[in-house]
Amino acid sequence: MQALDRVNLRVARGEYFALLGPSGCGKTTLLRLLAGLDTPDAGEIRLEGRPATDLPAHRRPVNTVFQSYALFPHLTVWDNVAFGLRMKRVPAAELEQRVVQALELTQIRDIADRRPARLSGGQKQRVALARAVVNEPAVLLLDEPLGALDLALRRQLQSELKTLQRRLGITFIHVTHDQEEALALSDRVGVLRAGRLEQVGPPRALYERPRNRFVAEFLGACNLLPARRATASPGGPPRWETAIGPLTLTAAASAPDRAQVTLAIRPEKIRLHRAGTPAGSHTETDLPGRVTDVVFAGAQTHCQVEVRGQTLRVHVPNGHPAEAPLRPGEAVTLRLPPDALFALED
Amino acid sequence: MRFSPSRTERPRPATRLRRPERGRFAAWCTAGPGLLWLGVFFYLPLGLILTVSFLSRSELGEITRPFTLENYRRLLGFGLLGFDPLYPQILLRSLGLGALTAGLCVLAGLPLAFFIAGLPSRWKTAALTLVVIPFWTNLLVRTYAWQILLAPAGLLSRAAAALGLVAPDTALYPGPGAVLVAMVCDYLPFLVLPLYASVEKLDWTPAEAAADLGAGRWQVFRHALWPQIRPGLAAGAVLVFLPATGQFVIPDLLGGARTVLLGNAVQQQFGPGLDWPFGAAIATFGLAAMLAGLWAYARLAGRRAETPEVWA
Repeated sequence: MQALDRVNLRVARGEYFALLGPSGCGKTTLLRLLAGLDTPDAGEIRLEGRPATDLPAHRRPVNTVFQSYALFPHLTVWDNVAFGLRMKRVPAAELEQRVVQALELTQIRDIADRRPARLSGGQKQRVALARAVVNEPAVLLLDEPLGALDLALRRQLQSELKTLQRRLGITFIHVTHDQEEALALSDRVGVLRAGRLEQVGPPRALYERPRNRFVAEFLGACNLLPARRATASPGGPPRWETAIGPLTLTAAASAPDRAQVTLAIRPEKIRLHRAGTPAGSHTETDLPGRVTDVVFAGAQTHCQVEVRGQTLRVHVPNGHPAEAPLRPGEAVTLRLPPDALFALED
Repeated sequence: MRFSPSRTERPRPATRLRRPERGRFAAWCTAGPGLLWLGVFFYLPLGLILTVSFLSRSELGEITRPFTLENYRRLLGFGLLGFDPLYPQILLRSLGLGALTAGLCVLAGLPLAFFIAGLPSRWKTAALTLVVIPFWTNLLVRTYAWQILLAPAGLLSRAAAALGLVAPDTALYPGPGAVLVAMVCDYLPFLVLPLYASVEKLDWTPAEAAADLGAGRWQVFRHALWPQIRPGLAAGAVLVFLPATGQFVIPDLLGGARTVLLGNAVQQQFGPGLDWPFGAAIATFGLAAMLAGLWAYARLAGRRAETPEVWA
């Protein structure tokens, strides 16, 4: 079985890189190859410009924060953190100073005497982090580091991770299946699917201009519209014929040179106006529709709107509390901004 | 929230297993026979031995009063003719034989346990059966078999001579080497089985973490694997050490019947020597020495594992 296939990736020094993908896509395998815990059948790994493919795990300038933390249960927090330095025979005075520094950086100095069995999940996570960064590795690998924590703690540790990375300047490679986490933390994201890198880029670029349907849908909700190229007016942008009417793309969203494509737009990019209001007055590019379903989701209201037999998902920001909420059956007009539309490869 | 079981989802008391808290009668009925057996056939004789060890012997070999510590004085070497280290030597020799056997079993058993645990699962049962098979043969039969194998003209002696390991026509038996070979073979399963149980359920993630943090092979073993297998190894070593210390048949048959061990000494006093009080003192002392050793080990192990660690 092939876990990874033709993955070609270059991560810059000091970069926060996120590897995003569903479970079983090979992201942990990639991380284990980088750590030296597995060996690739083919291909090359370079660390700091030097070949590292055949370097055993304990000789690589790389440390890992394991998914299950993998703390040493018979050692105290202090001894866990000091482990790597002891293996490198760092002198006692320097060791003590560096361990204290790492404990303070991760805010666990007060639990230094405890053993892992007596720690909470968040504390274990911090120990695992301190145990890795204390070695000042060239690259820090994080394997679903926040996967086992509850949501509030996860959000808090996310921001701490980001701060820590900026402060230390270490290259972070962070594996996760949580797209929000990947988008929020990283300088660049790589999306993996079945062992292949689908797309690599800054979070905003990936979200706004995903290359294909998999990336588009993995990073968030998406409306997909099969489209056919229509004869364009000379000099004007190409027009696309869809089930809800003709649509135009801006030049930035360069459409592939094909007769058939899938156009996509994120639900929050669609402008929704109530019929009968000034903003809701019908213009040529506006689409008349009818609300079929309304779900209150806190900051937004998730609506389903039927337009010419097609159902579109629309996320409307929840504005003034006095505003009457949308109700199913209400007539609305939708506006699809051309710069929010993008074309997918498949 | 979603995952907390609601009131109706909790198991009702009726479906729970009945706890045996009520009814001491039931407890005595179940544990009673075993306790009675142990009491009558083990603790009572043990108490008698203990008592006899403090009594004296008449000219005719009968057990008589007065109560005395003389047997223990003699055991520690303070005889009628000044200091005589005979019995302390016997005791140390027995403990030494037990420790050496346990040590060699550890050296042989550690790689074996890891090897078996690494086999594909269908081979594991077969391998474990092979480890246990020698048990199915009588100890005496096995020991006599070693006599034949290790005799000057025996298969192993000739093979060793052919390989240049020993001078031709050297007898591997009788001698201390023959004793140890047979002892390790007989007691190895006692060590391998509990050790295998530990190795089988080893958690390898700490080993990966250790390697990741710069530990070489030996350091990985020492810091990530050793703490996990230590309890199983200790249990196995104790299981080997205790019976090996009391063993005297194998040293007798393969060592040339020249070395006196704890077991022979006891047998000697109860049998031809007709000195039951002294024999009882030797037996009691041996028991006490082993208990002291176990207690020291338990304290040591207990202190290091002060938190209830579970390596699951």
